[in-house]
Amino acid sequence: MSSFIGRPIQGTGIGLRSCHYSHILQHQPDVPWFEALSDNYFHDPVQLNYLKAIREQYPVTLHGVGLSLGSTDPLNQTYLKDLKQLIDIIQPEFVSDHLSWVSVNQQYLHDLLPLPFTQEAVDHLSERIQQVQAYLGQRILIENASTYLAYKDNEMPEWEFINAIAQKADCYVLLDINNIVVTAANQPFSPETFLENIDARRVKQYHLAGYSDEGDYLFDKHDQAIHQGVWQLYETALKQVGILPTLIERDDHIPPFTTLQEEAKQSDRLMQTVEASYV
Amino acid sequence: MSKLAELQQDFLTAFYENNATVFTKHIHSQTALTPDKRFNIYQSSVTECLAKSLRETYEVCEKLVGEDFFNGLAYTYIQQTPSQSPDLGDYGEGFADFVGEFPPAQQLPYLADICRLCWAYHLAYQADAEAQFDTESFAQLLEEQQAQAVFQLPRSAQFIESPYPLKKIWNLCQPNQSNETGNAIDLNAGGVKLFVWRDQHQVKIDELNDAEWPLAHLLTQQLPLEQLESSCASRGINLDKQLPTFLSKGWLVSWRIDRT
Repeated sequence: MSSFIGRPIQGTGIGLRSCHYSHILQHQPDVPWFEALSDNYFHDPVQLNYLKAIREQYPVTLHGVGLSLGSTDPLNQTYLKDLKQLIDIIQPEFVSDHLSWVSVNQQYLHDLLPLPFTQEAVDHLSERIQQVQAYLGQRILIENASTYLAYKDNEMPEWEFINAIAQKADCYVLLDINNIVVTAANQPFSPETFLENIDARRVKQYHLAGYSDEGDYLFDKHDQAIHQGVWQLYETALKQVGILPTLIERDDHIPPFTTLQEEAKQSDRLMQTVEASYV
Repeated sequence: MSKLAELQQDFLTAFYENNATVFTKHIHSQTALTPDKRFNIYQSSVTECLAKSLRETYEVCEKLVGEDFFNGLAYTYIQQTPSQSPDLGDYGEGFADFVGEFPPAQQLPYLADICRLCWAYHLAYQADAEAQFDTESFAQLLEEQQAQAVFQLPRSAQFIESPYPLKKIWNLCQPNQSNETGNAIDLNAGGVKLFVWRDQHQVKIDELNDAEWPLAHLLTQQLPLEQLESSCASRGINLDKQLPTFLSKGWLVSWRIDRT
């Protein structure tokens, strides 16, 4: 299982979902890496066995939703322990979670709830990310969440908030291009401005997914193909931020594996085009 | 309380007390999308996430009562029952008790027990994998060692007792299954004693008879074999006859000897 350690992932990976386990193990598709949702494997030995089998053949990154980095509750030590155990088993290339909060008063809302972009929140999150990184013994990646509101108390734009936390906590950034498009439409702000101002040195990975157009707002549903606007912003990101490992994410209405492979190939072609333009 | 803590507390209050204004006062809105609607997006998202989890765990219950009735159950439960764990799989432990007291569900007296069976199935699925009972090693123990051996049920083991024919109702709700007799299930046909456990990757629901049920419960007490034998004798359980059955059905997965 250690054969991929230290070998950086490249190209476009695919989000690992249980309906594709058999296809992957049977056909061993040409995919450079997979990303597994950490929380799904903490207490599910059946799913964990599949993940271990896939990890034998592919590099894997771990992506979580339950760290609740922005919560004002103490960090959940049981969750951290579960995550550390999974890391020890899977030995992922990256470990990531979201810039959001999912719990307060030990009550879990199971949704990525928005944070106010304030210095108080920067300080709070940075300290908690440092605690997480110290416990896990490695840097984590923090992902920008889709949001449907802005707070009156905001003191800075989102990109400045992310940059400040990444620098203070000394962590990395996972840029979800779909989430930028969704949030930019809902606030509104220019998604290009986001990319122009994000600290590219901290960004280590991209996520691509599809949103749902609800008429008066965009909803981050991950239930359909990647939209043209997301592809366009992704191309801009490849040029401005850099060519980085990219993930195709789908959480609902999951299509056949080959459909996701087609989207991954489209992403790889964009990477190659941008790379060729540098020469 | 910090401003961040106050904001998060206000979201919780707005959600569980159905009082959006407690939270919408924090929201800045530059577009036609009002603060109320922006809060509602999150309110719906949280509710749907928890409802989806309940739907997955209590799939058989939903099949019995239909989507609309189940949504009524789920949404009421969600409003009354915050999730206490980051693991969505932990949500819904008290759903069966809630269903048992939910006034519109009183006409389906077996529904709460079906929910208990759903939860038992859910727990059994999540339990750690087991090795198979090593009969050869056990046979090689000295007689006095065997007397100190404690037999282990699977860690996935769950017990459900009900005055209703739960297994027939459960089977009727499985994919590609139909009522074996083509007739309505007689709710007064007699109760069941169910042993729910996981065999490799498959959860099994075994119906125990009146001899197997008390022995299975005795085994949960982790008694050394010599004590188990005397407990069985005092209850009229024929251990010599039952143990081979338990072993052949996979209900015993290991043994251990506690050193004193």
